[in-house]
Amino acid sequence: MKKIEVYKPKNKIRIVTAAYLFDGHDAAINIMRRIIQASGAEVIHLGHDRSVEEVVNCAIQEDVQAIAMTSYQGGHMEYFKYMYDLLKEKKSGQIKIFGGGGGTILPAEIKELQHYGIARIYHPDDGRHMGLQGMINDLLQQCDYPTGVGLNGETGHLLEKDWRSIARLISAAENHESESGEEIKKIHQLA
Amino acid sequence: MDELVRRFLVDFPDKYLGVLSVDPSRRKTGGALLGDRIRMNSIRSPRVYMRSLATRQSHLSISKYISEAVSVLKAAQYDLIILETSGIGQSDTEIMDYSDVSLYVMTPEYGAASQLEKIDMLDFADLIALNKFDKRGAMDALRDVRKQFKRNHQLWDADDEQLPIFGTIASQFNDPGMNNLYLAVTEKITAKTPLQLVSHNAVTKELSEKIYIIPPARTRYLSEIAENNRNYGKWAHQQSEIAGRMYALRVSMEEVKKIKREDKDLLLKGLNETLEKLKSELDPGNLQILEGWEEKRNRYKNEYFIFKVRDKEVKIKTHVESLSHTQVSKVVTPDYQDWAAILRWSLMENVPGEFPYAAGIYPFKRENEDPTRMFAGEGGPERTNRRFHYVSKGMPAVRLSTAFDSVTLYGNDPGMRPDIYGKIGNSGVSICCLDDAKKLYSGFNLADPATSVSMTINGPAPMMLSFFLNAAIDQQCELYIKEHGLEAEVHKKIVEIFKGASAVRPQYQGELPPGNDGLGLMLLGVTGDQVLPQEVYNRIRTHTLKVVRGTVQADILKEDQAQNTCIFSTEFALRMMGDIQQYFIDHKIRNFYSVSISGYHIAEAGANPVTQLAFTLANGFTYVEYYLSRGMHIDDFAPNLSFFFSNGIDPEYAVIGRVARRIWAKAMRDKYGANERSQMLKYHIQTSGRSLHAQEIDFNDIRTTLQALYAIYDNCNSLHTNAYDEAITTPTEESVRRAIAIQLIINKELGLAKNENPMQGSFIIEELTDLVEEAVYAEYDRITERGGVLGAMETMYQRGKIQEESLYYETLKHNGQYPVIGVNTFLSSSGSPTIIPREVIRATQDEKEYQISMLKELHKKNENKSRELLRKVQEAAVSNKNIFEKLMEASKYCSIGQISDAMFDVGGQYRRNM
Repeated sequence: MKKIEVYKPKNKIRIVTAAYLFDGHDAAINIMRRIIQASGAEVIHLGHDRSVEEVVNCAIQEDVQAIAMTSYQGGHMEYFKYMYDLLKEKKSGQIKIFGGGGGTILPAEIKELQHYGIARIYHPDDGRHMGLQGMINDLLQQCDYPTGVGLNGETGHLLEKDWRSIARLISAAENHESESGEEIKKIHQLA
Repeated sequence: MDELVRRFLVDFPDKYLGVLSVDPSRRKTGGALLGDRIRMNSIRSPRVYMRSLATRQSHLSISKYISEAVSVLKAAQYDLIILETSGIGQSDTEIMDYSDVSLYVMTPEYGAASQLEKIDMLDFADLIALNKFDKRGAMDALRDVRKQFKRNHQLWDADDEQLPIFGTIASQFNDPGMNNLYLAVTEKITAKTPLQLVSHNAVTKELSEKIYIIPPARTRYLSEIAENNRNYGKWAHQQSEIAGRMYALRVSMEEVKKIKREDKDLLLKGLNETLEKLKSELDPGNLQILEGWEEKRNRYKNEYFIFKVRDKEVKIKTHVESLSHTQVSKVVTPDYQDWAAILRWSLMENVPGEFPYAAGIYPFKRENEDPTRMFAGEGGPERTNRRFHYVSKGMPAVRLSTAFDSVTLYGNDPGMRPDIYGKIGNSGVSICCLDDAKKLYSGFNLADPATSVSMTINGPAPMMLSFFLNAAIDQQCELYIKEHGLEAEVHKKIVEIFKGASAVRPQYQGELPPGNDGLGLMLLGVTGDQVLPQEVYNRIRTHTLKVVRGTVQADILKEDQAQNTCIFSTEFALRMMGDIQQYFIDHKIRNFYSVSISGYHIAEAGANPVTQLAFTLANGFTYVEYYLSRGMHIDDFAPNLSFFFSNGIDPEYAVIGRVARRIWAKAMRDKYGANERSQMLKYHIQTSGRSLHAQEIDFNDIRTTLQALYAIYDNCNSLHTNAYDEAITTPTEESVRRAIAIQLIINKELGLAKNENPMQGSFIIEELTDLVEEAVYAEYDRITERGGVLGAMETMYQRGKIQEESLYYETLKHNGQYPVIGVNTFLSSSGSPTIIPREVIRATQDEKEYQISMLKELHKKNENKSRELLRKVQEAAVSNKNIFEKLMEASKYCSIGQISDAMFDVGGQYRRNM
């Protein structure tokens, strides 16, 4: 087997990983998250049995580029679509959703979910063709965009305790110290 | 931290909390595992914002951007901000620069006392928590930390109790040490900052004290069992050797008698003296075995074998005639002459039904009751009820096995929220209340000795069990009503109850299937005690509880080790198991297994057969130790325990049952002084789902057949055979029928299976039995080193080992060293691609919506009553009374989700770990 090069992201990538609500199958997501970490990303791991709301809130608070989920016990159509809708509703539609569920998610369903807006659902055959690292590379490539850029009035929403604004400001400080210097100075004064 | 946050949110309902948690970045890859959120159950509140930060620089314990993050939260006017650094080293104190109040959390495992001198935070921290206070040496650690703190702060005369050092056990619900630490934190904040936190919580005087599941003095139980059982082996060997020498002397004496010699008498006398001396070294019981050997063999050669079961005489035909008129022995005994061989075989193997039960726990298999048990569960209760009637059609004994949907398995109610909605009735049946249970088992008389029901559920097992028992009781009430012609009267009462509550009465949806006579449906929406006089109801209840047959899985240890459907904290879940067992004893529930101690999930998660067996039996002995520590008598509960193993294709699966029986019997008899009934280990086998593949799925039936053969030859007590399409979809009626046929063909057609101990006397079986047994004991010693089963679970020893073994299998399968036909070897011309199922059974919208609407009616109808009953459940939990007693009442009116929520408040929710 030929060795697959690890994708080197240009931006700092943060990803939330979890297994689906009422689903204890955490072996696969544990393997995936380890490869994601080893590829240089920061992983916020939530473990198994997580509701859409918990995962979405976490993704917004942590200002991640993507969510990676596994689902092995059915109900995935509703779950992934609801997640997509909820992210959109909370003005965080830029966060991408990736998923996998062995053979439990059928090819036709994968097509439907991807058409709906889910970034990618991996099928066991993908694993066989791409290899584990190949799948993770694909995921990271799609997530390789900056966070905390293009600030637009976030500071004004702080008093509402708006998670999205708080999260974006912290990302701006973390990732773009120089560009966001002015805004940060303002916040230091507010605090 | 979760425990501090939880207390804060309850204590101050208008305050906002920010959490910033820092974990290290890996220097080599730049990646990071930000794992603090996984343990936080309390941050679901809208009043909490949490952000995980990577250090992004390997030499510091905090992020460079921490001050910015703090400022953002301050600007947003969060009342309290908690900063958590990554496992701080001895000299990392950067956090002091960013915080008003600092708390240093350490454990008693810091090494020698001199190590404390190196910890800078003991100079700076306002408060110190010594967590994991249940660990060995905690009191010494507390003493040393106090000493060091006094030295650092020149507080030579300070009172120990006044120092800001707290022993805590954060993993324990409502831990007194945690309560005190929380109060001290609020006081410190009030003293040092403008934020005034006046807590409503009371000070707890006592120290943190671990409420032990296994008393500390008993943590070596597994090694004690291993030692006990190994000693039995040594003793058996030594006794057999004596018997062998006696036999040699006897034969010699016979020979000497034949020869002509002058000193013959003298020689015989000498030989006889030696024989007598050896005889005195032989255990009298063993002498009896030798003396009764011929007679014992003859009992199996006579036409009928007669024995007693619970004072009832049973007469069994000992032979089966083949088409060629050969008389095939049901149980065959070895034709040994040598006493060593006879005794050794009797002590290590023995006939079925006799200690140590290597070949089985009953002298003969039950007639007219094949061990077939089929698993079903999908959609609403009606659909599964139809499937049950379909699979049990024409079977003399009804053995139902129930799979629940994952909403139910996690103790939740069905609901419209999409992430819940999508799972209702998928991969199992949706059962959220008593009425669902009544429909599910309708048409099967649950009090009939020929009916036995198994329920695969663990976290919410106490709730499901109470639904089941109440359903069984109400069925008998229904029979009583019919018998006494009270139908009209009862009907009137029910109509009134629903009119008063203006609720809709639940109904069985659709036609009853063939075979369902509607038993159990008369009292839908009500319970027997609402329509019958109390004393009549009580009498029916008492009787029903005594006769119901079945099993509830309820094995919480393996959930934490392998399968993850935990909803309560492990301690709380174990306590409820104990309550259930106590209830069983009090109400003489003797034919129902209160737990099915399961290796299946351990094996499915990747453990090899030896590990499966070792962990499972170890879990079993843990329940034994716990129940004993609660004061129950071994013979009162051991017969309520049952086991459940997976049978895969590995060689060890040929002997898994016999090894389990041998280990259990020896430990029960010699270590726990248990009676014969308690010594008998009963187990269910399911063929391995993991060994089924999504490629060439037709081959799966072949694998299942071989595994079923292992199980039947090994005398399992019940058996489920998987359907060949299980690897890709929910089995269809057609595939399930084939799976049942596998068992029936072995039991009814396969000639050798007419014999009931076909593996005895095989050299390889005996060798494998010994090897696997010893491997189990070696594992016991490893678990003991880690503090017993519960101690090992804390460091996730079992989980780690299972994962390691899983990886080993996957690696060998992947590189082809482990051949799997049609998967990595013997591929078809098209490369044996993964099979995509044509149709997938999913619950229909109607089914889901009916479940949700009926649940709403239930909640509405019982609103007041359920609140009161749930409060009683909580009270029992807090005051250490039997929770299950109260659950039996609450389950008549409440749904599973209502009960779970009520218990979370008093027992704590399961906390995930990594």
